[in-house]
Amino acid sequence: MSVDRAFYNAAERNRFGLLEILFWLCPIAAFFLFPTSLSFATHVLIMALFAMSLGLILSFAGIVTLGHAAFFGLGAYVTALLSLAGYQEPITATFLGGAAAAVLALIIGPLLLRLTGLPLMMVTLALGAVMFEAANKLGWITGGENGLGDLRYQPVLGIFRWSIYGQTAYFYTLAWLFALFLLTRSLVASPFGLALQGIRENPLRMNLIGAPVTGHLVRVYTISAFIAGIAGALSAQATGFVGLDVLSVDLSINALVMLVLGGVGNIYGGLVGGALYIVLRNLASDWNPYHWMFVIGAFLVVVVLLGQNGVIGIVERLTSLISGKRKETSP
Amino acid sequence: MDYLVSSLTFIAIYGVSYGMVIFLISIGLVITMGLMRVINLAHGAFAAIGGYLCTALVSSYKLNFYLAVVVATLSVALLSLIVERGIYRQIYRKSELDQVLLTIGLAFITVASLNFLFGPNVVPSQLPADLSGTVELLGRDVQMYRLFVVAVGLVVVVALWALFNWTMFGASLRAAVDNPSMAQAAGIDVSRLFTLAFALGSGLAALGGAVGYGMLPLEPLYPFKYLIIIMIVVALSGFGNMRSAAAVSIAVGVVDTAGRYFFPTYGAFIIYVFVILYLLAQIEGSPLRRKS
Amino acid sequence: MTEPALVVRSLCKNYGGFAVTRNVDLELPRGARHALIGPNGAGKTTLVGLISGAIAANSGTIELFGRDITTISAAQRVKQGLVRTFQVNSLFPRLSVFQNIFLACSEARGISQRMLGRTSGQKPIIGQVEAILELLGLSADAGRPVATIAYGRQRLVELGIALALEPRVLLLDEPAAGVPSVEVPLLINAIDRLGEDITILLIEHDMQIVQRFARTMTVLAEGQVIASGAPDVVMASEQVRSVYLGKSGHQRFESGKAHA
Repeated sequence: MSVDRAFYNAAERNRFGLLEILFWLCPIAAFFLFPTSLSFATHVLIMALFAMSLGLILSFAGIVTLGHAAFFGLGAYVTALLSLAGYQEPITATFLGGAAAAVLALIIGPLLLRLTGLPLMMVTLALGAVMFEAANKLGWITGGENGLGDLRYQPVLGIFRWSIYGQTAYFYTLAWLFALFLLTRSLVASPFGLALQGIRENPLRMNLIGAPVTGHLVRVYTISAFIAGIAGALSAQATGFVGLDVLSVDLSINALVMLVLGGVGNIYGGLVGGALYIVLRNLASDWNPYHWMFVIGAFLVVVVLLGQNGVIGIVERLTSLISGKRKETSP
Repeated sequence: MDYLVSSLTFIAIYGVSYGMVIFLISIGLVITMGLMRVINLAHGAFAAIGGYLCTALVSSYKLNFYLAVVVATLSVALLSLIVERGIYRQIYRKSELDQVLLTIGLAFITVASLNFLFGPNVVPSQLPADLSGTVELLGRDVQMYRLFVVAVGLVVVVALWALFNWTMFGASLRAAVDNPSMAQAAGIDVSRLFTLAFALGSGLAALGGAVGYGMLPLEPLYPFKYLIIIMIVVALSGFGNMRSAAAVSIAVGVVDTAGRYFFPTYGAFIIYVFVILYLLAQIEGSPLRRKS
Repeated sequence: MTEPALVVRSLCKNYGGFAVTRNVDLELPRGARHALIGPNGAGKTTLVGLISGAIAANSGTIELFGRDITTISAAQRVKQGLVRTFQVNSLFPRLSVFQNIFLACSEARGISQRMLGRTSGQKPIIGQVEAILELLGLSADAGRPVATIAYGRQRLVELGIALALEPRVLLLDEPAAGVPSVEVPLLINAIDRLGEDITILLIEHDMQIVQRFARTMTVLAEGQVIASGAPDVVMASEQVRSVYLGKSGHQRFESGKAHA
């Protein structure tokens, strides 16, 4: 019997179809097409990863947060401080950055995630602001406004040196991105992933069928924070620098914009949106930043008023249009 | 001893006047949040537009400052009427995420437009000279401006109190905040009421933006810079409780001023930490709640 | 000798000074088909709320298979096999019919925390869900989002979620409320087919459904039990006729009998 897997869990839809394979060929192609822009390309991958981590909680569990940069920033600072303290093995340092973010989520999650709606946004916004101010004021640890620079790491697996052209950083980041993507994809397709979607749809009813709602939310929040922390850690390693902007409210809001640009409700939303946002931003880099802000603002208003779902929404509409036509022609 | 009295006077005057500005800017959001449960992250934009408009009227058209404040307030109220009917109306029934996205989008557009029209820097103050004088109060020189702001705030508090308690509009508004569907059933036109309340709130925000210049200087990023403090007042007022909004605003103003006065380095934290603890303590079954 | 499925003793609930549940006693033996009827405002839904744990009682006790459950939460009661349905649908609108019921099955079987392995690979649970869909005649709608199916069918999904929780005692709060009359037989047939091992308490206005379903019944008025026992006996009681049914009710009652 060939039942569509999405029948059991909409998140099972993607199973390395042609579209998915084409998607993952893009970063490989980018390596050969833009050999001189690899550090920029690495930045694209990192932001795609960060947006994906936000998508995990927002698209699937319905958690709207305005403070996700707290995890990105914590991961970045932890990895940077480890390097400065002499711990420079890259893979474990990246992992520890993610782990630190996960621990923070595990501590604040059980209280935070009982809130919903505006109170939740308020607390996450305030927490983000506290983290930013803390990093700003604790200059003796974080370097304050100057940040932490000149971070060094050992060769990856003891073989691949961190070159000035950034080949190692690029593939190292891509490997993390792909691994965490697989983790996320399998997570949302599992019974746990379906339970999260149930919470997104109707948390009260989930509670009444005996589901540990807050427990489920804390678990996914912690995993999302881990991924965001890894993204932050990767940014510290790829650029050799960490500044206050990794904790800024701007970054939290930008992640939200990236997700909406890509499309909410699909794990590819964050990846597509994150990459597209950074590339477009770069193309418009000669612009006055305020003009960019105007475009993004207008985009958000239009998206909401027209009820569109980003690039993924457009692709889905096109594919259903094509397959619909096919159905018409076939007997 | 003198030092203490003088410090306390300073904190009282500066804290209360700061609180009054926060009150003017936030009260509109407190009302609209309570009435329609809509998440409006663009509320600060109305304050910014009011402030900019007032400043422009004074600098370019040589209008009297006090007159400019009134014109700016009324213009923004009118503008918000159009924005509410044209845009906000569409999102009342949409998801929280949609509300957040749309209102962030509006705030972005406002920031970019303000930059386009007035440049990226802080615009020069147009507060009139007679407000820059000082008077001595309990051993401390106090700016006339601060007293002016406190006076404006008090007038608004009293006017709002009268509006809510003595007029049909106020009674309908209170009924609608308590129970919108009941109010609708009782024959109150909630949708029209909301448009009016929205305009009132936006107008007051514009007033706050115009007279608050001395504390919250005008720059394009204004709508985001003061977003957190506005949201703090909304959250601490209990999401729609107009009565507590004034008290909360003043408390926030005083606590923030005192924090920055006594602990210049870490002052900004105090208010954030306080808000986080307060909100978490509201949660049913929270360990913070059980202790208290 | 086995203890009864559900025993309610001297249950009371006041709101302020107003007593909505007064000293209610109720005993359901295993496999009971018990109907709870009463005029509007008699406190039927409050009683279901008290038994299911949605509302806390002021005094009295509730026992489930001999275990005192008076103070445990609604979610814990579900885990012990005490499951209710709601008068107003409370479903997962954008998820499919299949997924709605799968969610309940996976919570009941404790697999909702499985992060590894796809949903489509959970064969035993999928079999269970398919059996419930079959029983309720929902198989054809399995893949459709719940929000897009007819209201009467949504009521069946509500019932399906309750069944998926592996109930030993099932509280059905007006399952036919709001269901168009053409779809009511669907629901009645589904309830008829429920296993004898499930003890059922049905709250219903529609005497036709009550007549067909109930082997025993209780009449509630103003928060008090005024009669309890076999339907013939209860319905013949003068007190029930005067207090609850009245004259118009009498007619409805007789017409219901004729249909049964």
